[in-house]
Amino acid sequence: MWPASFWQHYEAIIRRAAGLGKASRERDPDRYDSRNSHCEVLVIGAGPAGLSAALAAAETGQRVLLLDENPYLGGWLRKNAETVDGQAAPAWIDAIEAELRGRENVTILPRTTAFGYYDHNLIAAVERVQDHSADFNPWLPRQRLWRIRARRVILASGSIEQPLVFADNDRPGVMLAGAVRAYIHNYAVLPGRRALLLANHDDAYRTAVALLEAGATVAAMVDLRAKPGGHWLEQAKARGIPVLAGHGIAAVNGRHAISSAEVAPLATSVGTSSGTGSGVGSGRRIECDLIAMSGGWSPVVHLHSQSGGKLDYRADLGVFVPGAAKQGSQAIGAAAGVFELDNCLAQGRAAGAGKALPVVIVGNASMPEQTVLKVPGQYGKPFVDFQNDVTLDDIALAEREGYRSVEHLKRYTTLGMGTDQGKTSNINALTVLAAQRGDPVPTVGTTTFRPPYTPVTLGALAGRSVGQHFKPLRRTALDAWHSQHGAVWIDAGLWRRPHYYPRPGENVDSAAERETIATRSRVGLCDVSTLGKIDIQGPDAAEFLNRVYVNGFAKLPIGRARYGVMLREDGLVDDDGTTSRLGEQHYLMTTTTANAARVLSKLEYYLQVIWPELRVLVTSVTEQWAGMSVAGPKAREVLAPLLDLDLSNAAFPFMAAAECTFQGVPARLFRISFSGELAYELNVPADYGPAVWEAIIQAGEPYGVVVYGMEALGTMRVEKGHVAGAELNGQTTLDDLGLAKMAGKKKAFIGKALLDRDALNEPARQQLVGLQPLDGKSWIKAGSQLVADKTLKPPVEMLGHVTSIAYSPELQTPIALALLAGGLTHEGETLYAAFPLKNELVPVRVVAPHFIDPKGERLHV
Amino acid sequence: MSEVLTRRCALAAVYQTGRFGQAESAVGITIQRLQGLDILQVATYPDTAERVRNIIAQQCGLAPAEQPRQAVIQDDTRILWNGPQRWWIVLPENPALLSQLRDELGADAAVTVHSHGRVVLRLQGPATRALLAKGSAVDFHPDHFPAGWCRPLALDHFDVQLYCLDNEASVDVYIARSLAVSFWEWLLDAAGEFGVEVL
Repeated sequence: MWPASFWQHYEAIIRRAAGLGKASRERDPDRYDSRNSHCEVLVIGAGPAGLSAALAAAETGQRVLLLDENPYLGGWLRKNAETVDGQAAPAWIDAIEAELRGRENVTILPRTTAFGYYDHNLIAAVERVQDHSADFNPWLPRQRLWRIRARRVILASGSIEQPLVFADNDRPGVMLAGAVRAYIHNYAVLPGRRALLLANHDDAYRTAVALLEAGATVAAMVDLRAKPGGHWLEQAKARGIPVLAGHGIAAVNGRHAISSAEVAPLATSVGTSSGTGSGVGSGRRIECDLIAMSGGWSPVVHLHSQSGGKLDYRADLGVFVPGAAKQGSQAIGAAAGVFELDNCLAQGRAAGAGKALPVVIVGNASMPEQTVLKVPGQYGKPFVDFQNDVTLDDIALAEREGYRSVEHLKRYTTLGMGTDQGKTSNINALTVLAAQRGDPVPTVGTTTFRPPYTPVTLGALAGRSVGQHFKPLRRTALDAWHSQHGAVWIDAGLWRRPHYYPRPGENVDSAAERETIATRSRVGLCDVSTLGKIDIQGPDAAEFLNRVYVNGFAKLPIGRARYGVMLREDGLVDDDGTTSRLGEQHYLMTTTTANAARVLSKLEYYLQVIWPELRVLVTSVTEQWAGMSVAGPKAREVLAPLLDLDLSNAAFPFMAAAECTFQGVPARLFRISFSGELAYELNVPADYGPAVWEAIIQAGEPYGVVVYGMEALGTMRVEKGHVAGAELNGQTTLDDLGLAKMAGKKKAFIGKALLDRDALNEPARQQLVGLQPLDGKSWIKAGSQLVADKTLKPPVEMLGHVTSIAYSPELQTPIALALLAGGLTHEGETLYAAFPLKNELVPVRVVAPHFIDPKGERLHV
Repeated sequence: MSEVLTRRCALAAVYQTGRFGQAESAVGITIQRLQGLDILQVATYPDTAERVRNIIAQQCGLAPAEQPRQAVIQDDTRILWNGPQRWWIVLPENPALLSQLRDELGADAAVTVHSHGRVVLRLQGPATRALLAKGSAVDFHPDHFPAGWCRPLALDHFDVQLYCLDNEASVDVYIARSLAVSFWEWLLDAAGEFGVEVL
């Protein structure tokens, strides 16, 4: 860029032009899907080696999966005018394809790119199902991700032609020789009328012949090698193609298209592929409109490398080839550096049949010698990485700056960081770097190959796990009723639960206030089906519960429920809930909604690993039961007529549990209360849930029954000072939550051993308190920090934080639960609830965390 | 069971019979909801498994398979393996069986009822294997997935119990009731490309 001082002006424009665009915020309109697949033999690549491998494997009767990134089979064989077994290549390919398609044990996936090779022979591939299709089928995905688990993987992924590095090699009209051949044979397109070829090995001579046969003129075959020879040279000579051995291109001319090239003899002799400094002597101009270049063919070793296999450098070919395999894979054909057709076919047959690969007899056909031509003082730029515009000079600069490691070179120059990930630049760059360092190529090493081999759309990776399929939704048996009655939903893990049931003109606060008042004064009905329910049976069930809970369960009588708290092994509170004794050896444990699965896993773990001698069997029965809480002073009147059970306080007191029937439906009734009111929790088989729910509403109508949601439930539990998720946060102890008296003194229980740790007994621990705003009306935000200094001048000492908030209709003031250093030793003091994000500061008084009915008299009526 | 109250299936709001998905092609998948089944889980300990299998055989007319991942079937009753020393007895509603089993098995086993806790869907048709392969990494080739094969597994985001009825890959899928509607949405979406008929 000139002048250099103007860079700051150019930069923004250039960066914008470089294409670092903005990602769309629109939703991807296309459909993607995924599928798993299993096979004994996975063949990646359907060129000659892959085809013969697939056929040989199919003949053994094994399940074979053959995939190829092209829409057709045959690979480069279709692009070369070859004969196989006496047939023209296309006919041979078609015959093999027909044979494979006729077999039940073979699956062929064209347009499918294997892009990742993971542990245990798991291969990920993406199939472009409809990218090519004009007639789009809405039921089919655009692309499909395949997760393939293969016993054996045959890597017949072929090779990629490498460009040559010479001045002006980025001009439009300079093409890879193989691409020219593909245009002619595959697409019947002639890329130029007068072509100049530049190559360092025999394969490019095929292109010269193909051009001639397609009617073009070949101006010259410029061969970097001093002494080319063999079959293809003879062919070229026989057809009158001028061959300039030991020559190179010094410059390319032309304004809108290529018009000519300056061709000159190489000044120094070349014999290895690691030289970089060979100059070009004084040249001559050759008219042409196309330059076809070829720097040899580099095996596609990516999948082998991804699988953990090492790479070996083949100095004779100037390329890396797969070394020993780490997983059950085998590279054959061009992917293994074997380029002759007969050898490829023989390797394919052997690999497919599971036999040892034949010894490859290499002719002198593919022997690149020189890939880089640097002419001192030349004007045009020799590009090494065409995607990221890295030139020979850039690599030299990197080396001079000390970026001599290949990993550093990559990051300094961005070489190999384009969308092709160095497929057409790494080998040349390594050769250059090695020469500059004066080291052999293998010691320079390569960068690591990581998935994906080619770019994969994020849509294909996401598949159908989008929108409503992103994660499943758990619905209670009463879900449809809630929907029909206008419930506003709130997430509770994977469940959705009614948050509140608004009436016209109500918002969440006013609806929850109405639901709370009605429940506390009359009767309310709440869906509690989501609570975890674990069936526990066995002769040692009582002992088991006694060890799992901090409080005693050994003497819980049949027909009684008990609130229990369990700790983690480290002594911190884990979960709480009630457990009821249904029979001599039969208990039902309830857990919080959030921890249901985890608590079950924990119980299973204790039984299988810690105490295998205990005869206890646990299983989740959450799904079987619809749970509903009937709470409020009129709860008994509403329920009693519907059950075959005496609900009087004497017969069915607080914390009673019984099996009964609800109008003929088997049911379980528990007199437990989260709201703090006289309350019953009724469980019925889930399919009966809606009918039972409606029967209770009907029976409750004379009493003014309401349904209430999570907001009202939360309000009532905060009023009662019951702890929930925000307080059971994995950092609190029994004592922090005011539950220390529950812990059994004489018995052992999980977590007891570590309860005595100093840190768990510090007086300054944050402990549960209640808060009320001094003015009786300001809302206290959940998450507010508790501070003593209202100036908030840093550093501000954080004394604790607000965990749960509610508006108490009964006290007619906002209330909150909080964890405060020193806990209730600060009762009566004034602190400040600071919420800096909203610039709020509410003066609060510290109170006991039981705002309503602290003695629990309402529970026992 | 109740003369007053009626049951409501978890899929009541979404289950519709008819053709869905790709309509031009032949039906690749048929889906049928199986209702009125009792699902009793019997779990026991390694040292009592033999005795429990014998008692189940006396009570149900067939014994659970000794091998894991195996189901046995006779008339309307099938017994599915659901984990080590744990089986599901699936049969048309039979209120007496629960108490009979509990009485006979005593402390050697835990019997729990899951009849309302699972929704059962029968999938049949030539595309069943391809459909299952969308959601599970299990190999559904007939050599590995023969008639009588059963096991709990993950199908897409869902934990299900799968039971293979025949060598045509007809399967019964037992899905947790709370997830049934979500599973249904996945199922119709995933099966759409094959052409679906809901019976």
